[in-house]
Amino acid sequence: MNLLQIIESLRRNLKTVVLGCYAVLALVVIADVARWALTSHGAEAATKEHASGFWAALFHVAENVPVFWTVFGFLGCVLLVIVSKAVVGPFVSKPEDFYDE
Amino acid sequence: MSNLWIHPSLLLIGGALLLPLIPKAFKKVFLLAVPLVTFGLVLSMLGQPAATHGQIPFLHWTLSFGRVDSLSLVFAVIMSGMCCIGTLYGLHVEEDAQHSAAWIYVSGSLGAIFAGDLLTLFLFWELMAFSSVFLIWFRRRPESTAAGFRYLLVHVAGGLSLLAGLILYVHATGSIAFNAFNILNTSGAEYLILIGILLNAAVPPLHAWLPDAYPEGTFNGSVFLSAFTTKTAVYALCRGFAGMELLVWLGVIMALYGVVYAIIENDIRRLFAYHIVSQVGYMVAGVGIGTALAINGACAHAFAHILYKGLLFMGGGSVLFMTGETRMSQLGGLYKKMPWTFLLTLIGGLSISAFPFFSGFVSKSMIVQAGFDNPHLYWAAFFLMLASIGTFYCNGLKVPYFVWFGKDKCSPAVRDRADDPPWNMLAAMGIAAFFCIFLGCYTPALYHLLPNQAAAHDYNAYTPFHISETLQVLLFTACAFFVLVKLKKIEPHAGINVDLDWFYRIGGRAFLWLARKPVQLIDTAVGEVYRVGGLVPLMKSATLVGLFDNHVIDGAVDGLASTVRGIGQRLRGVQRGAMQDNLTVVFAIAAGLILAFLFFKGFSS
Repeated sequence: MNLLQIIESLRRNLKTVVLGCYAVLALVVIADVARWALTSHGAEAATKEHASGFWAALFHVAENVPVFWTVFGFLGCVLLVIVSKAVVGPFVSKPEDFYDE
Repeated sequence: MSNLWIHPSLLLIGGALLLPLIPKAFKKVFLLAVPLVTFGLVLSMLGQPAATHGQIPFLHWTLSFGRVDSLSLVFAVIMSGMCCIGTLYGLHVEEDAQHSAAWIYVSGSLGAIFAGDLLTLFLFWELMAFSSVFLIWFRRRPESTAAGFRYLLVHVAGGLSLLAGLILYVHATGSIAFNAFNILNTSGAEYLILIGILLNAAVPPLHAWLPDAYPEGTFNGSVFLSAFTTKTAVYALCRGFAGMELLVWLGVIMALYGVVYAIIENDIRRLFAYHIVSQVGYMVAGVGIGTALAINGACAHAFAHILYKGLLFMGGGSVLFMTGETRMSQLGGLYKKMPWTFLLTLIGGLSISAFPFFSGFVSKSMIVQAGFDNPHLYWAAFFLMLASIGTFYCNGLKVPYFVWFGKDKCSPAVRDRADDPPWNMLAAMGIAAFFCIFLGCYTPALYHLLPNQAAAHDYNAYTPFHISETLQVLLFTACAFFVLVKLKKIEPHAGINVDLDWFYRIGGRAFLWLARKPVQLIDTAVGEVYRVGGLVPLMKSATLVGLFDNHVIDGAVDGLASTVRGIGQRLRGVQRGAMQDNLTVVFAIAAGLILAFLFFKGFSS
């Protein structure tokens, strides 16, 4: 089957594709909870050197709280876009002929 | 004896010089054969024990042209391999000089990688700068000519820093050997060398040349540019400055800096260029962490990066070559016309984003893991994770969505021209895409090449935690992306973003203005002297003559002058083009002669 036809059939059934994507997102979250439930915690944390401070605390959360990286991914993306577009952008963005003489 | 060792650069330079003499019928065969033979030659070194070949006495030192060990080989393999892919991609380009410049550029890179001493390193380092600039100039736009000159000037400055450091270092230590420097008590000479290398690695604030120049290159020249200069610098850092803590800081800053600029960038090739800065940041951070795992990670990531970044630049180059447009604000909906380019570029985007089963996944994770292994570097690892969000956002989502889907903002001319590129360009992209997936699925292929074999053997990228972590981060980044698209917050808009090149682009103008101003002052003063000295009465009496002069003679002279100026301007264009062509040949011959001389001298002694 032609690649273009595949893309167009996906676009025709966009509702189904989007539903499928939601299903994948849900599955990833469920899988992470399952992974968390099945692994024995505490054993690894004890062997790690005890460091204190913000980064050590964040590391502790990332290691021991399920779906941490889900939140990290979503919020991180929003944060990066806000910082880039709203904070950095206004300072550096110029019209296309800025360097023309 | 090791006399039979042939330097791979010699093949490429020889090929570059012979290319114009090859009859047209055999040209394509020759174009494919030379890089393939070079690649084969490098591969043949893999099984052999580490050794230094091509040692030549020079003054009272020894130049080493062929240090072959696991560190130099992993870089040499991917660079000679990328030369094959890049040449295939530009196979239909008729101008020999473009291929010659690219090959000499690659030979400079290979020469620097195999160099065992600082002088040889410097020689090939400069060869890279002077040959690669032609890949920008050959696009022949006024902007490219200017960007090429800026690129060259910045690299000459970096090269001077390297040379100054080298001279001071040799003066202080008496040795020209290129080995690990003293990273705990670094001397001024070593810092100068470091600055020269960091400039080539595009570390802020010395990075602005990269996003300035790479998007101005030819459609295939930028594929070469994206691979060689920065990764040769990463190699040099691995060799000389592994474990230097400063590099962790610089690497993390780079990774985020590139991402932030890429998010607001409109031109796809400039966006990819900013992601070179970002991805090289991972490698620089890996070198700074300096553990066996981190150095493996830096090398593996450079290896994977050359393939997927080449693939992304080939995708961007295809859009440029077929439509003449690379700004996202003027593109969109191209999936109907360029579906294969879309799919292959998407594979590059998924590889750079480190999706499971793509090459970035098995290489980037080593660097991040090395950060999480050390409690003092948790911060660096978290920031690198944050940068990987921006990587997927730009390469895996923004570019594919706004170029091939999204709102169709193409002009009728762009829409008419758009189509999948010629077979050789698609084939080159297909090969790169295959290896991106192959390296991601079959990890031993890459891990067996790494310098620290024990650490590579112990490392497993496909743990449940790592797969789950990556999928969560990436898929929920995608989720946020589509929410932002729905909210219409991230439509690309026309415009450029000033970077630190502003200082020398606008600063250069200020300098010119300053130079002009005093000249004008003197001119006015001299005029005043004439006027006071009695020129005014004289002029008055000459009014009648002046009328005649103005109307009759000046008319003729002005006409003549404008004609001459017109011819002069045309000549200037020709001259400039010819100068560039001449320079290519001169550099090629000079480099070839030096190499040939040194080698034959080596064989005879």
